Amino acid sequence: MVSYKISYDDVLSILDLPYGTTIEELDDLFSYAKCEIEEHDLDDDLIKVDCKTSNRPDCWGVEGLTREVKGITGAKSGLPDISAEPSGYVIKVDPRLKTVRPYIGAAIVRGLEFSDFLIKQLMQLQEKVDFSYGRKRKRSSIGIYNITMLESPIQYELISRSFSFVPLNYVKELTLDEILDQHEKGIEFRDILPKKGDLPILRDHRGMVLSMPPIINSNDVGRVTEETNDVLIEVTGTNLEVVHAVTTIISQALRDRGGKVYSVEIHYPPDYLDTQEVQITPNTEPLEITVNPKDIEKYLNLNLKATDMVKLLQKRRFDVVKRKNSLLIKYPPYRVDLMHWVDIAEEVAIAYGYMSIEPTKWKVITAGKLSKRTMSENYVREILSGCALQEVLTFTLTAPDKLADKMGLKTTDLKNNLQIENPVSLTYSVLRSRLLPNLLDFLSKNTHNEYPQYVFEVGEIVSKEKKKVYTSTNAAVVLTDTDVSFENAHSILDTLAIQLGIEISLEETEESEYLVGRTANIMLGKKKIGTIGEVSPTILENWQIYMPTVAFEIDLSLVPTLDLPYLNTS
Amino acid sequence: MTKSPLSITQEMYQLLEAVSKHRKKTLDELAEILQIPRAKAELLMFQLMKEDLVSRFTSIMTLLELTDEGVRIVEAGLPENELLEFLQQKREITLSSIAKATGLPKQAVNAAIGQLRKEGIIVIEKGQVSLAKTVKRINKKLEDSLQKIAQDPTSETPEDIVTQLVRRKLIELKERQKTMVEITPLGLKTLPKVNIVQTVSKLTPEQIRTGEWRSLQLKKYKIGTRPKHIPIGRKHPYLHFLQEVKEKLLGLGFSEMRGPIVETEFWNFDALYAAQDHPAREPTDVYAIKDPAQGNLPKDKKLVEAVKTVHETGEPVGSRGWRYKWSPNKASLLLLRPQGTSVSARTLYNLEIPSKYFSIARCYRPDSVDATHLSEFNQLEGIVCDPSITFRDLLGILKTFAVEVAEATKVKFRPDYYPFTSPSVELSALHPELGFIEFGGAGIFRPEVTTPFGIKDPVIAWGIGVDRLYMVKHGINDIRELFTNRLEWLRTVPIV
Repeated sequence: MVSYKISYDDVLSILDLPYGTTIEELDDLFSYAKCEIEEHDLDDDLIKVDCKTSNRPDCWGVEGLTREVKGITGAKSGLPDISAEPSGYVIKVDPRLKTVRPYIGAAIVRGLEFSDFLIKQLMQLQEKVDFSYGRKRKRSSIGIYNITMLESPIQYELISRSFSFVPLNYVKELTLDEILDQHEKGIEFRDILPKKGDLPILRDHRGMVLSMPPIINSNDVGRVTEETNDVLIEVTGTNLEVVHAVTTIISQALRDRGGKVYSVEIHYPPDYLDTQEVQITPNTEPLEITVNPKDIEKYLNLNLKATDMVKLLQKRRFDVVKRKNSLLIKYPPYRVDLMHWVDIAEEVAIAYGYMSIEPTKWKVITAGKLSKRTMSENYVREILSGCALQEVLTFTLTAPDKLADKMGLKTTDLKNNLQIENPVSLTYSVLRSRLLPNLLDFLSKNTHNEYPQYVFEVGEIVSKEKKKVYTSTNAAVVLTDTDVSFENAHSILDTLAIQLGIEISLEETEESEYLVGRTANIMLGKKKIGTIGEVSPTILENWQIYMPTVAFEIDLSLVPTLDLPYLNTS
Repeated sequence: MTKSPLSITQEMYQLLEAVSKHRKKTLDELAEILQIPRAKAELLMFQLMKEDLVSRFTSIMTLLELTDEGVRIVEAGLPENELLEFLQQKREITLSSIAKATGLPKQAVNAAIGQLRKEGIIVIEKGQVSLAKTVKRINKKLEDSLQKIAQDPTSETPEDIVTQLVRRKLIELKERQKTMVEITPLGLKTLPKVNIVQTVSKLTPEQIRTGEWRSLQLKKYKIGTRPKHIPIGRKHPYLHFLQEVKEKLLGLGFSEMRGPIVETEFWNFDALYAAQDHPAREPTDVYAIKDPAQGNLPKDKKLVEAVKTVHETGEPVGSRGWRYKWSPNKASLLLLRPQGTSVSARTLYNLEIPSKYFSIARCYRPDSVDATHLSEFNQLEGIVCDPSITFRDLLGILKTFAVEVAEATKVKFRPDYYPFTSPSVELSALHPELGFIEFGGAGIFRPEVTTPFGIKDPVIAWGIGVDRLYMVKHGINDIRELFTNRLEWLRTVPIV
């Protein structure tokens, strides 16, 4: 999801809609571009748009958004103008860039009338595309320059780290190393570039610096103002198709703002590309896909003929050539989301209008059944709630100190617990491998409430053993009251065992968290399936529960009458 | 008009009778006589007072209470008499050996010598104690009074005796409120003809079996009194709601699927045709696992190879593909499943056709916990597979969900985006107060997803924001309440 801000007045003027058009009406139109209005403040002329797709960077600005909507309102039909006359400008690529940042695309747009608002909209589009589709500038990054200050040819090359120029919003020259160390953008994006060796630079043949891709523009050529009319757009990156698509997205947006687009020749070194050495950008040829209308009709069931589909696809800004058994679809090069004919089917459905489709009645008849896991868990929940215990629901993510310190253990004892690599907070940074600490945590927050407090949880836990990770289900019971002791927990355990049809026995043991002489392993034959005991006051003190407390916890995977095997992750 | 004879309980009668027989008795004495606890006697007294059958008088009275030494003397007699008796046999004794020879406590020896010297009965010369007079016993009055006090701490004792006894630390004076119960004239008159009934607060099985209950008077309950709280055992309200949702889906013929919480990226992303560099796979969007960081790819090498191929080239389905080099390392990274679709992906393996599945899965996102975000939440997801299913049918299924699960009458569909479906649709349902609420999404799995599993038929994937649904239904604004710590709320929130 990508969100961006647009102006209400601007959007009405682009779409030629009457003043007073409601937010709901706009929102409905925007839905055709998979966008929605998230917030709006018409007093401030502000609309915040969310684009739901990460694969439509062309719709991350008002220009692309309205280009789509115009097809729906009928203002435009078929393929938008993607033509570009040659500008005469050439960019020459240094062969050494192949392993650093190999590709570049460019376009020149002339005759623009920038306003402060328009510059901000353009910056916003640039920023959104760089961040999301450009993968934080790693895959692609955009630069825009004042072309009048530049002469062809322009060099895209590697240069020494000691080379210096004045970066945007600076007055003095910085070396490339200094930019990476000191400049805000240098620090933010330096990981994209190699740690050693020469770095990318864009200069014209006279040595006038455009930028240091993908970090920062120069302060003079790289500054677009309200006085600027003609610009050079440049996109560098690691994927040729992405670089070309992004070049088109920006040049198309500026074309929609009244500019005339000119192409630039990119001269790659011999054997650098798998394709022609000279690439002309932006791409002026539509991309093509051939679909079978019968496939689409079978997929959607909208009762459409091929001619109907042609009309609908034209509303989606495609040109369609109808052939005998197929449709040849020509679509603009910025539509990076179209991968397969099912995407064309979706375009047909969207143009038809989701709300115009009459949903069919239910027809797939199958027998529904609960999973054996859930059934097994439900048996246990049924019995324990029947023993007058309150069921509780706790998080599977917890804090290390709750699992360790408060249970009288060291953090290093948590060998079976899976830790999160990138926790947002320590409170939710480790997965529980049992339930007892969670239940004590729960009770510690209810010490002001009425006793007795008898609680249970049947919940999933995650554990690891020899690098293998398992999800399984445990059941834990904790009883706390002025007058509880071992036998209270024992009675419930015994009842549970009878109801589950298993024969268990208790085997005295010692565990630091339980009282000596009042702790036992719960045995099923020779196998230990759990522990029962009176919780040691040392532990209770840690939780500030000043009340006798008894507990048991069993691994339900080990109960043969239930069907809860360990779930292996691979 | 004759008044029907007064009915009182057996216990009340016994007290009334005792009061009439033993006049001027305190409540404690009466309790003693009847062998019942004082509190019970007091209750009966009040019940009799209500009927005007007895009256009570309270006064402060002084109790004479024996000290430990006093108690000893009641048994053994005064120490002076003990020493006297001893001397009558032995004639003389050294002062220092008296205690040992007589077995008297040291203080008692001092008292005894003091008393006998005062009366001139003994003389002490050079540490030798000898009898000077022949006297049998002294301080007889003192001894007798002590005996009386022992039997009755209220017994009348001359003041000088009391003073002596106090001084010799044989008794202490204690003040106490005294309740005297006396029969009233009405009591006297009623006693012979009173009607005795038995009242009980609870019936016993015996009383029912023998028919005795017919002659019993059951105590009336104060109906308006709030009863005691029962600490009941109850399922968690939110889990109860999820269970109801499951039942609705079972009723629609959906079967439940379950899957592990910790997943490989393969099942969560790669098998669902999410590009390996997709932003949703960044650490800001998914929880990664520290150790082990990696799990295993599926044992089925053909499946892994097919997923790799479809990512890299889009084949064999004629897709553009992602056109990169697919990394098995990236695919085997472990994560906490951020979406329940991983469970659906696992079900695609050896999928039965036709079939309908659902799962309610705990899912995880690295969000800071606040009123609208949890780091773990539940997702309801599922799939429908049938050779004849179409996009129009998908909308039909969603409409059914809106009616059956969300209890809505009107639905809205909108184009949506999921990396693994095309077409994709967003589902909103009309809420009577809140307007249209977005509560689900769906789509037809892309062939890039289904083909590696060898599935040729369309598979619908759908999801419903079940946490949101519960919050809307119960007017909960803070999502943290789903995992509330409030025991009282869990015990008392209405189930319906």
